[in-house]
Amino acid sequence: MTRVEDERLVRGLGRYVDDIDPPRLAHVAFARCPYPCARIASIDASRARDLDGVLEVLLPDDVLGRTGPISILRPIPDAPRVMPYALPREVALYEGQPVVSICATSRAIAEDAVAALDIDYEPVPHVSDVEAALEDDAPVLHPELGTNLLVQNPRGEGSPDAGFADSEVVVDDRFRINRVSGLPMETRAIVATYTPGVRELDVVASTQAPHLFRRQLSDSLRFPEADIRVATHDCGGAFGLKLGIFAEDVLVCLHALDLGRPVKWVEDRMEFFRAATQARESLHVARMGAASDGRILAYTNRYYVDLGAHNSPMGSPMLSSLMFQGPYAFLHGYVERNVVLTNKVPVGAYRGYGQPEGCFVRELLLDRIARRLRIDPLEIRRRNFIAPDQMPWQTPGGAKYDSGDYATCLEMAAEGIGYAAARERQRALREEGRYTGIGVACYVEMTGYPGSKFLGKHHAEYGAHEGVVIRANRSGGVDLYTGVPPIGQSTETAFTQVAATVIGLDAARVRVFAGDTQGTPVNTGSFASRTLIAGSGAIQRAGREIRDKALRVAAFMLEVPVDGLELVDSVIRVVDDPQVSVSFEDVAVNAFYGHRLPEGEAPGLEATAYYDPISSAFSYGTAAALVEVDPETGEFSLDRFLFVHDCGRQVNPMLVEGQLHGGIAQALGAALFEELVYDADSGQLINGSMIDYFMPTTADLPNIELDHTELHSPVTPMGVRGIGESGTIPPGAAVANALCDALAPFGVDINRLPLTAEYVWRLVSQAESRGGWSGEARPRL
Amino acid sequence: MTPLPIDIRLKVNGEPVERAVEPRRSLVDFLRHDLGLTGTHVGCEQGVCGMCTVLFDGEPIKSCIMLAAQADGAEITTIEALNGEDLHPAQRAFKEAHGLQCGYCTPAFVLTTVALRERGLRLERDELKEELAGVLCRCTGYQNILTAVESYLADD
Amino acid sequence: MKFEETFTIAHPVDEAWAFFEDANRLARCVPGVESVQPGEEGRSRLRMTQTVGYMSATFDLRMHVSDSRPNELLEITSVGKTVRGAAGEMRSVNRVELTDEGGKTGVRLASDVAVGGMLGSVGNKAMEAKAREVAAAFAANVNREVDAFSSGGGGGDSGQSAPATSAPAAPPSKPAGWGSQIVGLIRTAFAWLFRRTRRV
Repeated sequence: MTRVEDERLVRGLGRYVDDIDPPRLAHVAFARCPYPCARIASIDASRARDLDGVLEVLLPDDVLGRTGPISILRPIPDAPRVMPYALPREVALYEGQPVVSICATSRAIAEDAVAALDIDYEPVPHVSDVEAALEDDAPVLHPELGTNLLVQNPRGEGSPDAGFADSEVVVDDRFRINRVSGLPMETRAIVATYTPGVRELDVVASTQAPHLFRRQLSDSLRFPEADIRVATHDCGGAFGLKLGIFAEDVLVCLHALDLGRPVKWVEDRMEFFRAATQARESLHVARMGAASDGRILAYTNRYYVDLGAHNSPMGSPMLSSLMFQGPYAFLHGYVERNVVLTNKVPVGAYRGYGQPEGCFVRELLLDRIARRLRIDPLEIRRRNFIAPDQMPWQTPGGAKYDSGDYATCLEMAAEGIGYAAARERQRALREEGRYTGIGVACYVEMTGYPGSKFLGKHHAEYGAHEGVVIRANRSGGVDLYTGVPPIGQSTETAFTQVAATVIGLDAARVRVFAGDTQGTPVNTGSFASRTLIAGSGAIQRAGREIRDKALRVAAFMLEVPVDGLELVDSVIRVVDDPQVSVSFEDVAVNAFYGHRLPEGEAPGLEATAYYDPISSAFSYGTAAALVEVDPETGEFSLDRFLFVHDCGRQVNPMLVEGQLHGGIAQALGAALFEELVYDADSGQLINGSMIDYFMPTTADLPNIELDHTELHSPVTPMGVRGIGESGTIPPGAAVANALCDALAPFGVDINRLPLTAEYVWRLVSQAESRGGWSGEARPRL
Repeated sequence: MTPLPIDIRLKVNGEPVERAVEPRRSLVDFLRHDLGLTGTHVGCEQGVCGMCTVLFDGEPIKSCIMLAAQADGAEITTIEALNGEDLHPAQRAFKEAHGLQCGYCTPAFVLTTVALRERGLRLERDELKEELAGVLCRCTGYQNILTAVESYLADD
Repeated sequence: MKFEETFTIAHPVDEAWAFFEDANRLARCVPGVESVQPGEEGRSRLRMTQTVGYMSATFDLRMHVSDSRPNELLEITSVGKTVRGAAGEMRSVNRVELTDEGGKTGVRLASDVAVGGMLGSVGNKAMEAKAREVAAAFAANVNREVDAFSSGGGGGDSGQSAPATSAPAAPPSKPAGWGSQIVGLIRTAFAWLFRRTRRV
């Protein structure tokens, strides 16, 4: 089934925030701190205020008294809540932090006014990496904490030390994961209108969770939530960045409240690099020990998340801990999350939410063990997989896997990539001095949340459920209302399909109204690969209610027993006598008028239902990569890339593939090309522009090959698992393992991202100077 | 002190347009906010991402780094030119191949594709990848976009 | 970013101080300074243009003397931001320490400069290289100006520019020669041609 959304989007008729141009629209620009850390000694806004067209200037003093802090939707366990206010009281803690907000009749005038501000910044010492931030004499970002270590969350089971002691081989390393940006093509944007007297704050924002946005705005603005409406009509990509409110949203709304006219802010791309949530940066100190047959006996990972200057709404990437085990059956494991504050843009959720990082570290160490023990990388994984009949499996990280057949995906990946032939070819080419490599990486992914109670225990500001309202219309179909906004993941289409299937209607007759807090049930939003799981559950419940009532009414109308009826393709008919039928449309019209209804049946044909998942479902799979490397230059080509996965029942295979392609492209981008580079001394962002931050184009990615299995999950309503984030998890590890495999004669081990030619070249040079080749075919250079 | 506006006359989607614009007004802002043609999008204002692609006398250009005044006398085509009750074949190709997700880059890719076809070249996939590298997409990973473009170019 | 420059002036310390104590006069010895305007309460306004890597910017700075001990120490603090070219902010604290070396004066310039905003994105290495270049040229200019000053032709101090060369200077003990002046002018011209300006 092709997508419902496409009719408007291919025509350019999507309604993104900046497409909205109400009369008397005013615009906002921000003065942003230009230093990694600076005291704001004074602000003189007099010249700015005098400019023609300037409507309002908000300074920290104007804002701090009248707003609450920006809440954290997903707090880090046991961590003090370091919540920012919309403007800083005295000290700006990162380059890009908004310091003054100016509203004017045009964006150009607002920017001119920002330039006319005289702000006396006193740069103070800063820290730009986790190690420096943890030193004894490091400047402390939040004095009330006394340290830059926000929290330490240890988690584990068994006794890893004993495991290591019993191991035949132990490998360890410090892995540096790069800071990247989700980089949606649409930046953040918001339009807010306040109608005085009517007391209605109407917000259109590019956000993943309108209902959460509304709640947070209410708290920060100290404005009743019931008087706020938040809608996302179309969103040009989010990937985790647009989860929750930001300082800019609060400030735009303040201007709207003060001025009583529409106020818009569309982030420009230069601001985006310096202020929008960033991602993934962490240092992982990991160690793995295995027996002589390659079975993992112990695995520990102490990792340090470079959080930036304060929490983003989603806390920190949490799943490096929960999912650190992957698909392997070891019993002794320890994972410790250390969250460290630094003078950089806050880090938050980005597709994968900590799983890509964790997978990278684990899969690379496992391959190292394989190389040391001279065990084939496929074989070592086979020996370690949790078997399907061992499910459900409780992991040391705290997750409970529902089901999974990891070995089958691995075999399919090996088959698909032509593993045996690739090994042959590798041997032959090495004789010629050419270096090819094959790499695999396996993952398990947490999708959805294990229920609202779980989130309640973790003090999250949201539940795990979805709610929908489904209301029959008088055109033979139903209108489905959901708070989940369209961010590209085809919710409208998926929900249409599920509703049509559950009720028994033509998909063309289902209309989905998405992403507006007005008229939709309070719900969660589009993240954590959860919407299909939770949404399908809610749609099933509501859909069944409507179906059942429609059948009862039809039975009454047709004067037949309800048991003998079925609803298929928008027609209700007697199973044994299909001529006796009535259209769903006629049933609905009748129900609306209430003219001919059974005794006790109220008019109307609609249902509201909520579904709270009982468990997360765990998708899984294997990625495989073929590379060829030139050791003299470090340059390499990614010749083939294959991804085999299982996401349970596939409601719409076309959509599943689309999500995977996108996730894989982001993973390859983050693994090969992307990095936000901060100068080691000045702490400033060096490459904050589209010209310097390298996002892959059509010419930079190989063809992505996909295959899958379909093992229905036993814990979700339709056996589905999430798929939105899967693509981001194993590709970096697969490519890195392929590179190490290609360069095995040199004895190269990889421990950082991105995998640039320069980095590979350095590894080879260092290995050579160590004399680290394995004694196989001697490298010819 | 606002600089004096410049009078421009151009054609947009076949319709004559006469306006007075500020010298610093970019073409994309002019199209989107002065003419209300919001199908063309803004992604970077640096001429890199390609969201702002429109056809200038049939050639794909980045309208975020062109001034409206520079479009005086030109024929500009935006995505809206393709819109009718039925989808234009290029639009249909994208829909059928699932060559879009959030839709933000779609008008740019569709226009680029249409212009590509006008040139009548026969392109291998690798060459096609180069031709399309001027527009970025973060959602699709490009696979289905390439499929859509190939099917549209092959379609007689 | 912190850096130091040391040099010697071939004059006794009290003559050197007589020149130094006028911060405005000293400021005009910094290459790239286009104008110095004295203001109230010892606060002056400077215009300075510098090119770092591929970026060029003109700064509007407010300067004042933050510490002063005759014949020993002068500390000048400048704060401001760019008004043309790459967007940026700057704050610098420059400590000039004088030591009596008989008929000569030892000068130690210790600078702490912070550059923020877009301009900062060229990175510290480029910034430091530029800073050293400017400091060296400053030293050469100071030597030349103190000579002129002490031999009776003290420079006026209202709005006059220094020899505004951003040439990479010769080592401090030699005055800048013709060759490096021309090289400097050519470099400045190229830097100006290829500057990246902020989109308005």
